[in-house]
Amino acid sequence: MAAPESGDGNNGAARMVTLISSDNTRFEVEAAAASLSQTLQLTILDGGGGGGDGIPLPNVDSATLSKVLEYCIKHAPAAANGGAPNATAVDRAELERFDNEFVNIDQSVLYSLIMAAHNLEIEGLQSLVAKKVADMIKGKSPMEIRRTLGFPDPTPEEQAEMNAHMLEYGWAYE
Amino acid sequence: MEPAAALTADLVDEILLRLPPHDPASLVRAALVCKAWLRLVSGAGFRRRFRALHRTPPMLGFLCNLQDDDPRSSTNAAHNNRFVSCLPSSSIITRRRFIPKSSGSWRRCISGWRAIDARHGRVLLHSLPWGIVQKMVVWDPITDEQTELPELPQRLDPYHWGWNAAVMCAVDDGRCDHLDCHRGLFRVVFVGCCVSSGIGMFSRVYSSESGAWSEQLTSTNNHIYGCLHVEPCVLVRNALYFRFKHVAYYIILKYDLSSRQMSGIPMIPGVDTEEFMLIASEDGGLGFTGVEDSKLYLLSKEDTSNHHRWTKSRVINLGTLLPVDALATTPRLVGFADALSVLILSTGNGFFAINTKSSEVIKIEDSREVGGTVYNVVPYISFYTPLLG
Repeated sequence: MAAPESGDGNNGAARMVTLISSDNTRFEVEAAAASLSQTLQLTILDGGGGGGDGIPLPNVDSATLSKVLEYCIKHAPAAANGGAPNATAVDRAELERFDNEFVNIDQSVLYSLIMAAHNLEIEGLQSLVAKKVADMIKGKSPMEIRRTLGFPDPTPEEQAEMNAHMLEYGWAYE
Repeated sequence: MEPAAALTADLVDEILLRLPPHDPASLVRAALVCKAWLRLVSGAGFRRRFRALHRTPPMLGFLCNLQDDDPRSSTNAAHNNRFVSCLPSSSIITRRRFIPKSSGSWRRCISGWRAIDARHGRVLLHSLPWGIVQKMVVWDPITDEQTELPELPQRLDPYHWGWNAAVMCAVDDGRCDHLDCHRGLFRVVFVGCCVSSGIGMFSRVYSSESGAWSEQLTSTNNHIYGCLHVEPCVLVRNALYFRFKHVAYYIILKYDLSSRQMSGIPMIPGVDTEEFMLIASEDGGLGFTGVEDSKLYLLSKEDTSNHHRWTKSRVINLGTLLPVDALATTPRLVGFADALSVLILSTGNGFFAINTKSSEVIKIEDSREVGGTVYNVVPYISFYTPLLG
């Protein structure tokens, strides 16, 4: 039962929607910001999320969702301009600065973010976080990558197989 | 949270796709993290997505032709021609580089061969020394596949013939994005000129589909003749442009890939054209460039078929872009990558790649000495995703 009053208006006030995290925290945001998520956009277009109902997000905890929404609110105006062809260089530089700061966070938060961005299909955020993790593993050896990402050490069999490939690609290790 | 568990295959895909294409070693090392990553990176789907995301293939390196393999000399063979890898200079990885497939075979491939041209992931090589064996091979450095071309019907006497050749995908621009066509069909355009025989300028096209050279086409314009040099040409708007020397001055030979017609474009009178290099201009048309007094002059040809007007489009001051020791002697233009608009300069302080559109400069690191004077270089541009397992 979507709230009809707040939902259908093109009359001034921005339409708001409510999102509910896995730990039952409610977040009220503009529909335009939440619509950066392809998944949410469909629900919102169907009139969902308004009034008291809210859209439950059982896979996203409140800490992650708050971070996701921080991104969406910042990027919503540019996205509304269709990728911001009219954006000034200053606007673009400001977004870039925001993005750089935004991913300067703890690794565990990064993983939660990339999963949330993937589940919610927020293309820009997905790309931003994936790029950050790619930058973290770039230039590292396979073992360093494993340790950076917190993988357990390989089994002797697995290590032997990888060593065989390493010989073939010696140039990548010089 | 367990990070290893958090990263599902989809997320790993997202991450690895964003490793930089100009640093293929990073992708190889990531592939060797575990079996799942190895399978992912080696898959055709990943290869396709990697190309689709990055769009512009990087210059993985270039093939260096050394001075002593002069086409007119049949005795001095360059056995040290080699592959120089390009690297991101800003990173700490100063020695990681791409080397074509198995290191044994690439050495065999390049020493004793002259690189003539490279495009769309393929390299055209000619056997050395000149004049004794006339063998041309199209080589894919990534898969190490080689296709030996059949001999041309006429023998190329290096003392009397001038010629040049180019390799490319068999499909024209617009119908192929050339991002992953290096395993597909290709063609080799050969242009030659024999002044003494009176044939003048002629062309033939080798098609990998038929495995044969086409019939010979001669130029209807008797004025187009002169000495062609074996050096990389430039591909601009579905036409190839070759330099040739007519009596004492240079002319540009235009070869239209659709009509297979040849025509001549005069250079600016009075310009010392000995040291110029053909390039793609900023607007995507034909241009040329030369170095004088530490400045790079870029000129572009106005896009009219009837008038040959050249206009100065840009001057790049090398003094502000290159370190002082690189300019101790005049830098030499040794190569141009038409797909990327990147010029390669040989200087007293090694190689530099300059983007003629953005003026971005990259110092090309290499741990080994080139081992001779560089005659020219043939840039190799391709995506690289490892095939393991």
